[in-house]
Amino acid sequence: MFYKQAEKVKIKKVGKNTALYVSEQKGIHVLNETALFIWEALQDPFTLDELLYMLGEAFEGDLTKMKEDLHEILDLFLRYNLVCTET
Amino acid sequence: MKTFFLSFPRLSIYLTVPHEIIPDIQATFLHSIRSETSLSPRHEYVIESTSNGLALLKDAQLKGHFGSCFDLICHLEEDIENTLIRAIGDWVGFHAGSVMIGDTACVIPGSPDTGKTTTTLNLVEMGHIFLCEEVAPVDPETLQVHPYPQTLTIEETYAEKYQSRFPVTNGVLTFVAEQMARYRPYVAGSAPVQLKTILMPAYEPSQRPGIKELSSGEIFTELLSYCFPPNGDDEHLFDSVIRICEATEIFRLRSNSLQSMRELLKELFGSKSGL
Repeated sequence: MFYKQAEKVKIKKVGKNTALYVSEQKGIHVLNETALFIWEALQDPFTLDELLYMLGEAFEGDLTKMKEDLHEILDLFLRYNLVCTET
Repeated sequence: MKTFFLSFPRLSIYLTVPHEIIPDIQATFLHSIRSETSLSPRHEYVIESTSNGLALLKDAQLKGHFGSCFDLICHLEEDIENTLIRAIGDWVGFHAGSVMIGDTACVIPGSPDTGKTTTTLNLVEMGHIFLCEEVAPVDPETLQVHPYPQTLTIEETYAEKYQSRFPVTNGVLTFVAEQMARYRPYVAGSAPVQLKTILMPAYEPSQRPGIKELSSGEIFTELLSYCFPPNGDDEHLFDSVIRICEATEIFRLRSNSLQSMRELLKELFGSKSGL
């Protein structure tokens, strides 16, 4: 399964941070550094393993914890329609 | 009966009341009553004496019957507040108090019971000029805060504690029904003031008191949650709040007692009165 940025997502700069929202939905989401990295990567479709590899290259840390964070961020992105999946 | 003309940001109101409650109305809307105006009112409220209390009408529609003048005034204030939030159009309405620190405005937003009203009370009593209570209307284009100087409602226990520690010198503190007290500052700003500071109070008895400066990214979504629902689309509200938080200095003020709040406010802003 591939993840990629959903259409209709709008981007706002908030100081040094980036926030995302979908017009039809209430709420706007300010991204942390990891979430922003994943969001920007998903301009192209990637699998979970590919994203985890990219995270491991870009950030230092425990890979198991990184995988948990990646799962959590992708779940949130999907819940708020910020990313979609394709097979 | 007597008719008052009340002036609020982007909203003007005629309020007609029976003679017996004129002093209460004058005290409640002290800083919003205007003697004359060329503007036509957007709404007309009428209060009538009835056999079992008071009736409130808005634009000839009955809004309710009330057993006491205090109940009626609370309801009237809430109705005017809701009307104001619609009337301010594309401005941002923060659920907040506001005071003038020097020649700029400080907005104090927060959820109920976080200490925004008591922070406003303390700043006014420390010598700063009162601007807003409950709603702080901010024009996102000019970044000006428009005064909405309504009476502050605080818990009786806090008011008693406050009075036992500090003299009340810049307003009138009265104890009313339902374990509440009301504070009416003597002086309030009447012209829009440039917004400079946003102060987020947090009362946490188990925490150490302190002041933390926050970045716009850190505070943006929380600040959005203190905005009244926008009259336009969400994107305009997002852009407005981004502009506001990027242009202001924002602090979290974490206090664990009346004394610690007072000391932190003095550290942040100084005190005109020396208290």
